[in-house]
Amino acid sequence: MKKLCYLLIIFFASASFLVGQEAKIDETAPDFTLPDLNGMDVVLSDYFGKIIVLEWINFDCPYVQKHYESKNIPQMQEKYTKQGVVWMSICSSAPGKQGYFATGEIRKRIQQYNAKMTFYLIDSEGTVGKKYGAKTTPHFFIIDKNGKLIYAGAVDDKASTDIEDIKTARNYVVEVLDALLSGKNSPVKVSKPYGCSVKYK
Amino acid sequence: MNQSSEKIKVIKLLLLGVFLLTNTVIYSKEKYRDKRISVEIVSAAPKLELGKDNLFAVKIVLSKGWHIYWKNPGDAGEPTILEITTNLPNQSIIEPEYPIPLYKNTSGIITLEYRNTVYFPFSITIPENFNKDTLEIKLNAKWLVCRQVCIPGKTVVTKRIPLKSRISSNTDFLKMTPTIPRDSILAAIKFFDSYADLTINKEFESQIQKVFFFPLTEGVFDLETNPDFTLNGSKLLIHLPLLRYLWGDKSNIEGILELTFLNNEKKYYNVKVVE
Repeated sequence: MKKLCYLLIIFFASASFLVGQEAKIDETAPDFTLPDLNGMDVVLSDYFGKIIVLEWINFDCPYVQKHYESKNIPQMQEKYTKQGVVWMSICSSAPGKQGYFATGEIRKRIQQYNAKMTFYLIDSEGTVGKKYGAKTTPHFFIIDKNGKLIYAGAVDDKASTDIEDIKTARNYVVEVLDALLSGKNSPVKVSKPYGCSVKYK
Repeated sequence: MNQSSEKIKVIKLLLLGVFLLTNTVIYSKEKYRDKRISVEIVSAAPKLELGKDNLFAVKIVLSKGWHIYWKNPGDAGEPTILEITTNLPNQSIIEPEYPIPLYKNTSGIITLEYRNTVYFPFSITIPENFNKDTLEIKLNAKWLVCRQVCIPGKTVVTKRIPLKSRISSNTDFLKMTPTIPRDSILAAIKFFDSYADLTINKEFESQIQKVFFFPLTEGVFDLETNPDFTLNGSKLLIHLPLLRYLWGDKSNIEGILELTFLNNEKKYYNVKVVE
């Protein structure tokens, strides 16, 4: 009985550590649960075993608009989700701040851009954003099939709002996903995130 | 028939006049202004002097609540880029001096900003044998201006100053010089897992109350907390936390050191790390 109690204590202590810990490169991605557009809870660890993309989003940010209006991100979403990647777009804007929308408006924007994310998750308290250290929109985090965080940074290396720059930019997210999907190591682990600040509460 | 063709001729001439006028205005734009920001070049002296340093500044005025960013914007935003060229012979691009920015912590996101009116000073020496009537100073400026939303902007403004005439002067920016570091010091740095120790060997006249390091090198230091420091004789050791996702160049550390002394006086130093 005593042994069982110890085991339970150890289990809960490590579980809460995992839930409360800060994300770090090359370490297990901290778990979270967030509601999607339908109010359904999405648990990150349910998708461990697959490659997961976490994309911080704010549809009113000109840097996000650059990648959505150009179809750059929607095309990446379509291409990689078809190959089994789970794409979670997370909005950490607090109510009343830029990028926080009612679900109807979010659906409208998703349709307008023909976005193909697996989930659009609402993090209005900002707890998941802070756990992962999301600073800008967009800001990308990629988790490998072992549940390990292997990339944190920008979508590409051209920190601008100019759609023309996409053509000549080095797309880090594509490089990392292509490497992971072909069983190779990620060619880049961190890069300079750029964009609007996350509008935390 | 004759009358109407005459009228068409007059209209055509008027249109041509308007076209030329507007294009001349665009070509010779001395000031950029929108509802968020204005950008222009101002001169400290009412008259140019040959063979001497002539002081100027890029003056940026931001509307209430709006801000732009320092060379290192911090966790978000984009650097303000200011590049000056002139019609002087063999003149390379001039980068004006950037005053110390404001430190802002918005829910854990640190940004280094400018608000209200800010001057970026620079000087130009006109050679004694300069053979043109007018000094032409051209500014290429690029910025990201933010309030609730962020809007990127850029402009080219040109100030043409006749060498022999008097011009309107603005000496306001001379008051800002204390926020522009003049002294430079060398430092050593040692990196650990989550922090770095910056060591400076220098005697300071007063007792230091607070230390802050504005890194010009982006993507290395976490600016959320004030760094701890110890002062042992002439050895100042500053304990700088590192970013969780460090992406900057650790081999090329530069920045500005802000020292607050016990009498609340502040002093700024350019810091360059040497091996």
